Amino acid sequence: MTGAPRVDPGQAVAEERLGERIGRVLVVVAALAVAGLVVPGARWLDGVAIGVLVAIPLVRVAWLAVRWWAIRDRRYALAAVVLLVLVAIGPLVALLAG
Amino acid sequence: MNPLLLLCAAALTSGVGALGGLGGAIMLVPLLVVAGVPASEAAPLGLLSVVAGSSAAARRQMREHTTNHRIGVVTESASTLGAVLGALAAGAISETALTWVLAAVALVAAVAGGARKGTRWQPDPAARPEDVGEWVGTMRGAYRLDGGVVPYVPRRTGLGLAAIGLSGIVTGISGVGGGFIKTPAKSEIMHVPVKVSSSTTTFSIGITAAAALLVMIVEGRLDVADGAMVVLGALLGGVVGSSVQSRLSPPVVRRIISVLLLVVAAILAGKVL
Repeated sequence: MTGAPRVDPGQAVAEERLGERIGRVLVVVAALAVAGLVVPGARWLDGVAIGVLVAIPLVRVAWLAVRWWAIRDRRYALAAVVLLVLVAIGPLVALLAG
Repeated sequence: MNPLLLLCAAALTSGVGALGGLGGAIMLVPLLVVAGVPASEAAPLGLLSVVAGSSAAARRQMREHTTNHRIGVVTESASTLGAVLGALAAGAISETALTWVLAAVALVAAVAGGARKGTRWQPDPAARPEDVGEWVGTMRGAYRLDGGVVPYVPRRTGLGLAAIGLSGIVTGISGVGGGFIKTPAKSEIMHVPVKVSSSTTTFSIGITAAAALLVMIVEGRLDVADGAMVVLGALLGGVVGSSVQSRLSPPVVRRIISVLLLVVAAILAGKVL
């Protein structure tokens, strides 16, 4: 019914490892956010926390593009790159518009 | 707004959003506006809650291999392209008419998901545990359910992409996140299992929310102190919501999504009445 699957043998481990790393980064993000709120004059730490948080989904897509390219799933690797380009358009236009 | 209340609102809406794969902004932003936060400040806080909730849910969803990244990347490309077109077309349709259309879409999706009985994809005895996850070069995949392995094949991909692209246009015009359209479009049009659909949407809405949030940060619209409270609340909500979702059966998740969609429809209708 579903055809013979071609499973990336390293996918499960790589995904779990990335998930764990994201979890660790989020602990750092939470610690930075708390520090920014309670330490006087350290409001900039909140900005760092938000910056790191916003980068996570984009880094995840870049990681997917690299991984899919490495296992020769080039069509989806290119799709991931196209997605990154599309999401970059808005902030770039906002930056250029000043 | 009281910082503790802001944290609780973000935790609640992000948890519910992760549970149903809808994103929490559609509930958080109206709540903040009702509490007196200007809409221009509430929007970036809503997007921040989506990014935080999406990333918080990632660890569990990647461990359980319920996220199909290939479906997420392809559908999000359609959605982002739609959002760009929608932004260009902003002003061509009145906000009131658009809100009514969104409310109707949420209502139809709620009824479609709620009326369906049983589970579409069943465990396949021939499927092996190694088949779990997404498959190379295709949007097919398999996930674990009740000790078995359930292979799935997305159907009507073109129609699903069109619906998700339309949700992007709506986002571009109105600024409303499209998770409440994307999850039912994947599960009810493309026949992606509801748990995979919900996890995949939770992943993909984090991408567009991050991109839109970058625009608002560049424009100086984000208050970092309020943002930090939302981050803390949404991280907590995302972890709890994804944890609860993984313990529920697909029909229960589908019913929860239907109820949430009814709430979304009511919120949207309330905005224009």
